[in-house]
Amino acid sequence: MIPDEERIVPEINSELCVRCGDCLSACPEGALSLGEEGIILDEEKCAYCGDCEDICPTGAIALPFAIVLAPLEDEEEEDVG
Amino acid sequence: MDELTRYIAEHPYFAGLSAAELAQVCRMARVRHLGHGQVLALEGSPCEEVFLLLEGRVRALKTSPEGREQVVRELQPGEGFYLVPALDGGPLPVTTITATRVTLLSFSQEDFLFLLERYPTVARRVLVEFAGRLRRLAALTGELALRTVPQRLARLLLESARAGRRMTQREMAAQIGTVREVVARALTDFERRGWLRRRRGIIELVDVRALQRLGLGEEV
Repeated sequence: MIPDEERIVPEINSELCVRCGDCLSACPEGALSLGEEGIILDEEKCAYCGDCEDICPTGAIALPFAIVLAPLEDEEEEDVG
Repeated sequence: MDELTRYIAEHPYFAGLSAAELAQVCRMARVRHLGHGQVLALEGSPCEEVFLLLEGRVRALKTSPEGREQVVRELQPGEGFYLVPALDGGPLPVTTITATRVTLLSFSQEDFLFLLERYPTVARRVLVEFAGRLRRLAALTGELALRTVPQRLARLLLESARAGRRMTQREMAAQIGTVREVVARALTDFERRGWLRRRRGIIELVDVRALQRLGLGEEV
């Protein structure tokens, strides 16, 4: 099943986050800010590019990809084993 | 408890040591906080220090005979490095550069060897880690010898689609024995060929047959 694209955002683990702010300067869209509770993500601005994940020293940010087969109109169903 | 003592007491290598023993380890260790892009040591140099990475990531690079640098691994928190040259006295196999802000412990080679001789529990933990690395390397060596990065990535994508798995590009890189940048380039190439489609947080496999053929090492 293909996840709802609109709801996919970077995962930020506030327990691992040390609030260093490196991700703020790395984000080309200015989608991140630092609040009292930690990193705040502006979901509208986020382009899911991965620069924040790359710079985070504690691995607190993850941008996972769901790996799925394309719908049947693109490709006949296959055994992927 | 000061910062250095806390890091030593919490590190798996030193678990179970008495307070007096931990104090001796602390006298030999340095805790270092470094920014992004700092060179720790250069390939080919004699081993002077052993590092234990606590926070952040460190890139290991090798230089080709033509002088081109290639990232060969990205070291993660919890990993130690330059243990092999510390033990065998050979030159450093890679250059290491911080990829993020990092915190690490360092020991002089002499002190590290002393700790291994003085504390058998530490030596045993280092050996267990070496054994794990050897197992992973043996498994990876077969894959590396037999398949290219695109072939290994194609196989991983097909397996992941079957298992309904979610992965970051870094996790994909770790699984196939390469680095994130190489995975990103291969995904872009697959997309250009029309084998997959990337959307926000989703990789859709469009041409499963092409990926299967590539994974089997056939001409595509």
